[in-house]
Amino acid sequence: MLIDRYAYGNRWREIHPVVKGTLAGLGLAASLAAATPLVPLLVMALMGGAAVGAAGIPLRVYLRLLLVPAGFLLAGVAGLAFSCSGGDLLIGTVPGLQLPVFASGAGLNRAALVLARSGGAVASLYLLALTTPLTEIVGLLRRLKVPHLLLELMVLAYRQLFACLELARDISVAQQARLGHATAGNRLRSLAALGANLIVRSQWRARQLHRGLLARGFEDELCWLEPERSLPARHLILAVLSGGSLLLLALLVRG
Amino acid sequence: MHIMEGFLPAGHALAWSAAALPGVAVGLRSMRRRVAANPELKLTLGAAAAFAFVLTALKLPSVTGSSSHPTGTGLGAVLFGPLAMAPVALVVLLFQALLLAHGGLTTLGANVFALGVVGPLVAFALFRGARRLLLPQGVCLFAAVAAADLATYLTTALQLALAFPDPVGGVSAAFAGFAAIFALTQVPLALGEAALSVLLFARLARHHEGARAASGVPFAPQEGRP
Repeated sequence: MLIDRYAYGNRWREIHPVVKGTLAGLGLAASLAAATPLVPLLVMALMGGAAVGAAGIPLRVYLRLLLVPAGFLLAGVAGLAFSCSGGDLLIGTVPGLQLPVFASGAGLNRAALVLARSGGAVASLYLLALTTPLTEIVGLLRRLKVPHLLLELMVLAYRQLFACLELARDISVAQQARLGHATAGNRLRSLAALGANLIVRSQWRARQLHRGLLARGFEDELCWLEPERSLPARHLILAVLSGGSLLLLALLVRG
Repeated sequence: MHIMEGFLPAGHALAWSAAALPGVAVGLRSMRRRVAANPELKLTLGAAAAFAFVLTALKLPSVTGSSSHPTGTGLGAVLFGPLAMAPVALVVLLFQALLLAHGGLTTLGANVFALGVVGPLVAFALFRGARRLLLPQGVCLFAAVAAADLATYLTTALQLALAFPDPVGGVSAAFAGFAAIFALTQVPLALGEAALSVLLFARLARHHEGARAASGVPFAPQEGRP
């Protein structure tokens, strides 16, 4: 997984997760609080600059990741910009349905705002996701007092994830080699076989893991260590200042 | 289907998180009770979350040509009970946001509500209801999974419509618009995933008895209490 790979190997790896979480959280808040596209675009620039310039995520990778939500964004923004019930400008009709399609200035403005807001928020999320491994994000959630059972579930799922993915990939390769993906029907059947085997294997592994834990004195709560990171005051101040000023700007600039 | 990061306005994001919270809390409580009786279940559910994540990473062949992925919540609700699915969906959606850049943190609440609360409840209710009518298991499963997917997607469309009502037609017009746009991918997906789930179940049933017992999967769909 692309994001996971960079989360473990970037120049911001050693920075305390609280600092990165604070910065990303303030960026998210500023993007959502904004009433004009200006502040989200500033957030996007700051977060993108931090990820590519400071943390050293290759620009090509970063841009490719930005394209991931493009499909949803396109469909969603189209729903905002165009309307079938009325607007300033008739663009055309849906062929076959005789449904008129309108565009309006207000609709386009709203679409632009949502587009910018999503951009700022996505850039904030990426900054956290690309610089912080999931295990450290679990530590961050622990500080936020998330129930322990939920954290245990996350740790267990993360542990199993890669074994599951590898198994799924191997099965898929074996199926492809036997024309298992040659037609749509074959693919559906192959996928069902893959899913069934994956479920059995992953549950079997969970059972083995439980036995291993029992043998080592497992009682009812999983414990794990987190890497110790220093938390210099200036990092935290810098994160709060840069994120906080954007949030303030978002609250002040009201259209 | 889930809403991407930053798409919902702040008020809506908070409101949907508040709506999803009771579902997750009830799910965690029921899970805690079941784990106390059977400690292995904790690891089993962790594996189920990993399985669901991998399942969502698979691409389904789709009729319209757009590739879409299964959600697994309908199947999970039938296998593990509907209540456990809210926390599991929360974990899976968080992983998708952080590892695959699908969905997001601010829209997590809205997505958990649609995928982890509405979908599983619809699937479970429909499965139980159809079983009571003595329909064959495959038919029940097909209906339950397809309905869970459709309910999830309609909930998402409603969430978007409430956040962005049409300036002229209001919420209902916006709902129709979003539902129509997403129907292009979501309706074939619902049918595809339902077919996949039925085939998957048939495969499971063919597994060697010993392998099934050793893995501890509750293969017979949960007929009893959730």
